[in-house]
Amino acid sequence: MKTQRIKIGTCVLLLPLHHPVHVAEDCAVIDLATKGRLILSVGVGYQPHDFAAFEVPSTERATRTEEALEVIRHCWSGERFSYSGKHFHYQDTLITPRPLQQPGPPVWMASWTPPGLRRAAKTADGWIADPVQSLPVIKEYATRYRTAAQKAGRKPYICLMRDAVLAGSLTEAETESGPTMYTHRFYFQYGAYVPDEYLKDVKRPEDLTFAKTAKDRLIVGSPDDCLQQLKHWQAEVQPDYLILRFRQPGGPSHQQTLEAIRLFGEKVIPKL
Amino acid sequence: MLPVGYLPCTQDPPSGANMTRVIDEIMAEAQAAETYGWDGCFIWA
Repeated sequence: MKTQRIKIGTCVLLLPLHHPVHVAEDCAVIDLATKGRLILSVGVGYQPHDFAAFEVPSTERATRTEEALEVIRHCWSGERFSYSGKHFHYQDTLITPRPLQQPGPPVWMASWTPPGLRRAAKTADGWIADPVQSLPVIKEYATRYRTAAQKAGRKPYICLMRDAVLAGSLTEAETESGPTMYTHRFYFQYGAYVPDEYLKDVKRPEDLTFAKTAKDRLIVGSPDDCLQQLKHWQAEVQPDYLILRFRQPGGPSHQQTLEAIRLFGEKVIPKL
Repeated sequence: MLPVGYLPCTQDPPSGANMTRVIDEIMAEAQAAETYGWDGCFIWA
C-alpha cells in the first residue's frame, strides 16, 4: 500500500454519466483495499459535450444523480433490494462486497446553484463548495446549504475547495499564476462564475485579471499570506474540510508542487 | 485543526502521452501529502 493514513476520494465524479452499480462496486473495493479511507464526491455535471458523449440527456442529470445515490446506498447495504425509479430498476438484487465503512463511505456533493445546494443538503453527507466562486457567494451558499440540511434532518458538513498559488510573495504568486488563471478563464467562459462584486467590469475571459480573480477567491502568496486568507475564509464560512489544488496542466512542475505540499503541511495546516 | 485534502492534477493535454508519468507524480504527491500532515488526496474522476 502506497499510503497508510490519508483519506482517498473522488472529487468529483460526474454521477449521471456513470452506472450506479458500477460506482457502488468500485467504491466498495477501494474502501476495502484502503481499510475504510474512501470518500465519494459527486457532481451532476454542467458541460453539454460531456452529456452528449455519454448519450445522457443533460435534463436528466438531477434525477439520475438522486436515483443513483439511492441505488448506491442500497448496493452498499449488503442486503437484497428492489428499486423502481425513473431511470433505474432492480428486482431482488444483491451486490457484493460491502464497503468497510458502514453504512458506506461518506458521500459529498458539489453544487453551485440553489437547487444543487438543496439536493446536496437532502441527499449527501456533505456539500463541496467549488473553487470557482468568491467568498461572498460561497458565504451566502453556505447559509442556504446549512438551512436546507437542517430542514432535511441532516447535519451540515461543508468542504471548501480552493485553487492556490504558493510562492515567496504575492508578487511572485502573480508571476506564477498563469496556469491557474488559464483554468479560471475557462470556468468564466463556460458560465461557471456566479456574478459578484469583483466581476462588475469583466465581460470577457481576457478581462479576468489576477487581481480580480485572486481577491476572496484564490489562495495566493507566501505561507503566511495563505494562512491569513484561509483564516478569513474560516471566520466567514466555517468549513469543516478544505481541499486545495496547487497544480494545473500547465504547471507548476511536480518538484515545485512537492515543495508546496511540504511547505503548506509544515507552515499552514497546523495553524488552521 | 481544519483537515486539509490535496487535489492533484490528473490531466495531460493534449494527447495524454505522458500519463504514466502523471500517475507516478500523483502517487508521489499523495505520499508527500501523507508525510506532511494532509488529511486526504482527491482525484478528479
